[in-house]
Amino acid sequence: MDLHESADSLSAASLDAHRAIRSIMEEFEAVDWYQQRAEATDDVELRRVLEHNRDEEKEHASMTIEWLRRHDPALDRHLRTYLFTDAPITEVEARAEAQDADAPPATDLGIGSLRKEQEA
Amino acid sequence: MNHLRRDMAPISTTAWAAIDDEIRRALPTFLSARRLVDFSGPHGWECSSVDLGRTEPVQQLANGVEVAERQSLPLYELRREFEIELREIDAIDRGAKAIDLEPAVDAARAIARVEDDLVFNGQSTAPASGITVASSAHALALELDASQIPAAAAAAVDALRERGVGGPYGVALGSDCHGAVMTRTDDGYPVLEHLRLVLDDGPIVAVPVIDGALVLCLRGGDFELVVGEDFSVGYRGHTDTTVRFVLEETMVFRANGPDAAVPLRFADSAAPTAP
Repeated sequence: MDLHESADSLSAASLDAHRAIRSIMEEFEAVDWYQQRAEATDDVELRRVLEHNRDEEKEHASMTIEWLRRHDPALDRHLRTYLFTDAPITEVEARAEAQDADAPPATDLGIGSLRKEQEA
Repeated sequence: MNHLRRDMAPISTTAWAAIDDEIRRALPTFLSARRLVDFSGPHGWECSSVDLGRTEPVQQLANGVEVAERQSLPLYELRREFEIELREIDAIDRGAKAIDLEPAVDAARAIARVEDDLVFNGQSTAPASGITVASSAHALALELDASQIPAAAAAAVDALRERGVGGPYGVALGSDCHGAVMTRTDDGYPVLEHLRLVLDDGPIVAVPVIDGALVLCLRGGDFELVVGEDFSVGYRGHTDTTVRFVLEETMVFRANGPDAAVPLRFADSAAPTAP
C-alpha cells in the first residue's frame, strides 16, 4: 500500500484515508497525463477521446475528495473556507477570520424544540 | 453589539447568566406548542418571512406578460419587558442564592402563552391561523363527562386514520380537560392511563390557551412553528433602582396540513364534571 509506517501501527481510519489520498493522487496524475497526450496528438478523434477520459478522471477525483472531506474535519473546515470563493485566494483566510470576529455571539437562550420530552 | 444591547446593561456577566438561567428554566414549563408541533429554526433575527411557494396574480395580462406576487408569511415580533431591582442584581454578584427574579419568570409565562395562543388559536387569516381554527372543519363533540375523553380521543384517531393521516399522535388538553384527565378514574381505571393507551404513549400536553382538547398527528410536516430569533433577553434601560429588560422572539406558525388534527369541543362551554 506504499505506507511510510507499518500497517499494524495504523488505525483502520488512517488506512482508509491513505487509500483515498492515493486514489486522488492517481486520478490527478491521470488528468495530467491525459492533458499532455491530448495536447500532443495530431489526431483529432484521439484528442477528443483523451479529453473525455481526462474529464472523467476529474469526476473520480472529486468524488474521492468529497469522501475524504466527510471523514476529515480539518479538511472540511479548510475546503469550506477556500472553495467557491471569489476573493484573491491568499486573502480568503483573512477575510473569513474577519467575518467570524464580526459575527455576534449566539445570544438566544437555546430553548428550541421541546418535542422529545413527553409529558403525562 | 446587536439589537439586544446586552453590552450596554449596567450588570455583570454573572448577573446576566443568572437572569438567562432563570428564564431558561422557566420557559419549558410554560411552553406547550413546542412539545407537539414541528420546530423550524432559529433562522436568526434577520429572518422576516417564510416563503409559501405560491403566487397571487396582481395584474391583468398586458401584451402577454403576466405579473404575479410571490406569497410569504411575515414573522411576528413578540416582546415582553420586565424590571429587576438593582439591589437583587447586586446580590447576585455577592453570591446570594435567594434572588427575586419573579418578574423574569412572569415575562416568560406571558410570552410563552402568546406563542401558544398564536399556534393553537392564531390569527383570523389563513395561513397564519392556529390549529384549532385551521382544523375546525374536522371538530368532534366532547362529552361533559371527563371519563369520555379517551373515547373522544379514540374517535379522533380513527377519523385521522380514515383520512389517511398516520401516527404517531399526541393530544393537547385545555386546562379543564387536563385537570380531569389527571385526577379522574373510570371504574377505578385512571383516565390518564386509558388516554395513554389510545395515543400509544404519545405526548399528553396541557395547553391552557385552548378549550376542550385537540388530537393531532406528529408525523411531521403538518404543523410548523417557524422561529427567527429564539427567546432572547435584551437590555432596555435603567434607573437608580431598577434595570429594565426585554424577553423577545420572532416567530410564525404555519398550518400546512389542517387535516392532520381533530379539535374536540364540548357541546357547550361547560367544563368536565368534577369528580
